[in-house]
Amino acid sequence: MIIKNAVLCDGNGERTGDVEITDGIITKIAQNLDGDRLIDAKGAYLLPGIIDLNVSLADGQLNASKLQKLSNEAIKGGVTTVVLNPDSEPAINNEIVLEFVLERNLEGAEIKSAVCATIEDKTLSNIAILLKKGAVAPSLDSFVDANLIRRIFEYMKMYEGTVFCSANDRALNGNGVMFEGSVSASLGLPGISVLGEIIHVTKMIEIARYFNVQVLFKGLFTRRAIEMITSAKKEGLKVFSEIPIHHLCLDDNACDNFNTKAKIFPPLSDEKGKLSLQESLKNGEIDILSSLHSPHSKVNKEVAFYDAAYGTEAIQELLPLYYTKLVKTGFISLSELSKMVSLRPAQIIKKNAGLIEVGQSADLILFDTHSSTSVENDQSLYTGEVLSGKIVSVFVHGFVK
Amino acid sequence: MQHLVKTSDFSTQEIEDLFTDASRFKAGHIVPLLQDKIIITLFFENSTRTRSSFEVAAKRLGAQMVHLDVAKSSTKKGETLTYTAANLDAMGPDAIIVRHSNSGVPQILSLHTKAAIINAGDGAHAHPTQALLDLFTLKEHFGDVKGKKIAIVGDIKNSRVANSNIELLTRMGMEIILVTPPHFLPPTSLRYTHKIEEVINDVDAIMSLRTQTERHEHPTYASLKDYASDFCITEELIGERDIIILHPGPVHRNIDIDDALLADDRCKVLKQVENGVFVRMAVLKKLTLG
Repeated sequence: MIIKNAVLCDGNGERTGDVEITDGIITKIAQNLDGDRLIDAKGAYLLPGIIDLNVSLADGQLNASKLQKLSNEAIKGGVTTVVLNPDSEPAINNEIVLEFVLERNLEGAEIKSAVCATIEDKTLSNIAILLKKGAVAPSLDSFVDANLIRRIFEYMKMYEGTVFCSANDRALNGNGVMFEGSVSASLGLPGISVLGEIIHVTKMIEIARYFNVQVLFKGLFTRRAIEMITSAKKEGLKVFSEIPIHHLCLDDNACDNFNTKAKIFPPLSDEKGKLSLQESLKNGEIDILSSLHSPHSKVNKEVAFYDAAYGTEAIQELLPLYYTKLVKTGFISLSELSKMVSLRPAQIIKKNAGLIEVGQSADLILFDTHSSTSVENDQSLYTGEVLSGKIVSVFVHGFVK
Repeated sequence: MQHLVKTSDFSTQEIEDLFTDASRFKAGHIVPLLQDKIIITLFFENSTRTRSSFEVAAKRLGAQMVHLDVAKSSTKKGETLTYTAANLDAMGPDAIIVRHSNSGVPQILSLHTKAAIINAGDGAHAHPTQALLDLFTLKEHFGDVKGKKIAIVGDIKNSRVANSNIELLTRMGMEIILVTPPHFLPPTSLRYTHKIEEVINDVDAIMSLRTQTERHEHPTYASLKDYASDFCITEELIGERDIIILHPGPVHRNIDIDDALLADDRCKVLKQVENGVFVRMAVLKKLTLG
């Protein structure tokens, strides 16, 4: 198969050329290639598929139909690889559950998974076995017992992988349900303090330094955390930040009128916080972007804000959303976006993808920036918006989806 | 259909008209205006005085009351608020008075009912009839409240009464000073202090709030005694000053306000309860008759 007349764009920049795909791998990139199966891109962008590192199953429930549904929805948004958050029901913390997730013949995007590094925050899961079975990383909450954290890092010294870390403080979060600020005060909703993330990122950076182990901080929402990660990187530490798209384009005003669609974790920051995160983005301090996709049934959302489940839906329109909110607004270029949503996530999960280069897996998106996509899903934070760009086709390991 | 979920649902003119009605009721001009009206009370959270006050108000105007006693804490799992609202509305009441421990519930119900929703307090969000009766009481005492200074003392962050009063009293031109420890101070552009002595000579009124030292099992302050050591409104603090004292009730004696001051004429707590009935009558009339 040969994709002709596309503008190739990845984390290394833009160029023109035709791309030959054989057995799911990019085998040749050159001008004027010819062959038996030609796809005319008609000037659309060819981008590496998105690898989304922060995705949860619907209602947090792990079963075959929810995996299939997620796999199909992901493709619509240009996501070719989904990495699941393992805190589902049942939790992905043993080999049988992991095998169930990984050994499925899914029609859409490939689904990979992190695994819970601990079992109910009390004991260690079988990290060595799970990594060998294909888990992309052990995932932990920074508020667990420091001895468990130490042991997890020792495992990762041996396996030279990445620790996925959610940095927050259960006690400080208290009964908070949204960002603690003037909006939470006027809505009369208990707030979540930024202090939790800040102190836990500080702590985890020191642990990463001590063990010299790579850490990905998942779902951050404060500028201060990003500043600390940026300065730790300058000192040579292998620490990275992942920020959900919503925190860069929405703020806590989205919770007005008790809009439970905007009840997400981490919480949407106030406007000042959002603007400062946009500064981080422009300065190239944010490593990875994610959808924070975590759908919920109405029974979990059409209730009091306090009782509503955390989560929103975003994966189906993800690439047009990224493009509209971050590229069209001038914050970053399409190539920089690709670096943050494909190349770096690929490096984190050690997947031979994320670039348009010979030898890479043919996980690709044809994206037409002259068309548009309207958000019809009523569970989206962007319902009714018309986004720039439209996905023409998506390839997973060379197959058109 | 007009609802009363928060004080800002009523314009300043509407509030003036409301108070004209309330004053007429207070002067004894009461006729059974709501004789054919059915009013449901839906209290998801315990309340004696607010519910009684609404009931007395409704009965004085001749309305029929139906009390739905819902499980104390919250809606049953597995039922959406949209569905709850649709069910109640299907019975065809003229108004539904709602109290819920979670902020936002009356607002969500109001999106799905033809009946008027009257918020009788939701979480830390709003308690509009309380703020209205507070304003009515202040106006009764001061006449014009514009330019008057009021200190709100207590757990402001978790208080629906404070939230509603901040909107309403500010709109009426009063200056609000928040007097509270950092524990209970919301992010705000209002003037605030942690020391009541600093503002006691400036204020015309003090609104003391009921304070709790624990919320959802998370401690917020060491003890009521520790809180009262700085924030109890005492006769000694007020001295001979011309200041009136308000409290939404129930008062924690010698924690929020001391015994001596509660017995003082400057303390308007009972006046608030009395006015509450008339203000709520006016609200019921407005929302069921239009």
